[in-house]
Amino acid sequence: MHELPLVFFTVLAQGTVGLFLVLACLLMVNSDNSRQQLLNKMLMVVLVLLGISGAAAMTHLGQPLRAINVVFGLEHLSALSVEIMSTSLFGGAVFTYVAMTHFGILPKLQKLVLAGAMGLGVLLLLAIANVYTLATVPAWNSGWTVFQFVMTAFVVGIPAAALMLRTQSVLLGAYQKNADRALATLGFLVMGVVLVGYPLYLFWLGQVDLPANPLGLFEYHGSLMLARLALLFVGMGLWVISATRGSNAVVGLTAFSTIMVLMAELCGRIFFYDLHMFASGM
Amino acid sequence: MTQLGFYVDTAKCTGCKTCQLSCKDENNLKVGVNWRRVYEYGGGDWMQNADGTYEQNVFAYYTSISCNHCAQPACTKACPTGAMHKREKDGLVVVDGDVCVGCRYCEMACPYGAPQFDAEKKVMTKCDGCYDRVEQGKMPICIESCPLRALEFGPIDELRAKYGTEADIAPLPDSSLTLPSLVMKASRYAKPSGDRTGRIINTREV
Repeated sequence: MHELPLVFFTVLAQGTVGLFLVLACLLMVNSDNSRQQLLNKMLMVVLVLLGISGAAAMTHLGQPLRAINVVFGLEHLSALSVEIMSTSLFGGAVFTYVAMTHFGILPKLQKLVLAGAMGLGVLLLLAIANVYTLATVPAWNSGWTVFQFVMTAFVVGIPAAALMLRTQSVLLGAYQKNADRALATLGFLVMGVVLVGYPLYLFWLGQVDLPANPLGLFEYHGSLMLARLALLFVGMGLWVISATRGSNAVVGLTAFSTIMVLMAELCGRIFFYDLHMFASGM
Repeated sequence: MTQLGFYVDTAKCTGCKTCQLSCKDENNLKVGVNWRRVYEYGGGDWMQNADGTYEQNVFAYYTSISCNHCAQPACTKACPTGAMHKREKDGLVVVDGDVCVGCRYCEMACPYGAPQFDAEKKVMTKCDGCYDRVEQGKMPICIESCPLRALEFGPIDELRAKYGTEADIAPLPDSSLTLPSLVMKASRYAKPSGDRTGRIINTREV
């Protein structure tokens, strides 16, 4: 499948936005100075991950050296141009914030830039979904695309943020434990939404008027969906259950969970791209 | 602005694919790149008569489709670079191969499968209505090569005045999506767009 780079880009970019939003929320309500510096440094990881996802997207282009041409599409608001611009603006805003805090530039404006970056992050999630809600592709043209893309941010972002905080558990002390528990509670709620949302999505998919059964397109789809749910629930579950039971500092377990949910979302996204089909079947 | 477009007579077309091949020859297209494609649409079932006997109603017909140079193209709207553009002069939808980044988003958007990715050039290519030939007063190569005279090309207003406005024949999508500059003549067995009793049979060819 030639969309594989896009599978990586969309999942990684969405997960990174999720991770950023969690860290940014923590920063917004934080008042401790040394903690603030540590959290600021963590945002560099966001930049690195965003860079990796951007590089993955570039490999999908036939002519990556001409990538700058995508600015021309802004003239007619091409969904793809808007998506790429949102990615750049989001990355630019996070970079600006990190640079401002690192070099101590305009301390009073830093929170404002952070808020702007949060807004751009949400905008990016919607811009990615907007690329795929094409009127000519019935299996994509619905709110379920937005739902899935936003859920990826939660599903990947929350355990990833917990993982980052756990790596600094010694320095952060009780703050990290409380944050971990709060994130685990949020993760538990997200699992609930997924448990209701994904089956509903599949039901919806089953009744879309298409030339072929969208749930029977490829032999491997059955195992792919099963793998996705298993990876997601085992990955998320291991961390959520252990965290709510008081184990809030083990890095390895959360790393394992984060990798599992990432893989779950990659499986889900492969399935999503496989559904590309016109109502006509042409 | 004149809008050029195609007329396809599915009652005359026998699915010989000369149009597809002459197009490949004229434009030096490689295997896997088809600016014109002939979709074989067929289906059928067993029908029970009043006396309990059974009869089949098998059908098949061909739709030769290249690019419909739509009035509201999904591809130009999707294109992030503007490489895929609609010419002011004749309404033909053409890719500028020097601007295209090869993202293949137009391919995802066009419900007629017109944009074709050239794996060697790494850019999108598609039917350009043979505008170079048209400027010399000739017809596109597919039109001239059709042995059944099932294809016509010209100002879409004239074609519509002559043949009507039908463009919703299976397996083509609902024409309200992109407003194709296309007039179809239905064959005896033609089904409307959105029909689910038949299917595209030559999927590996198109």
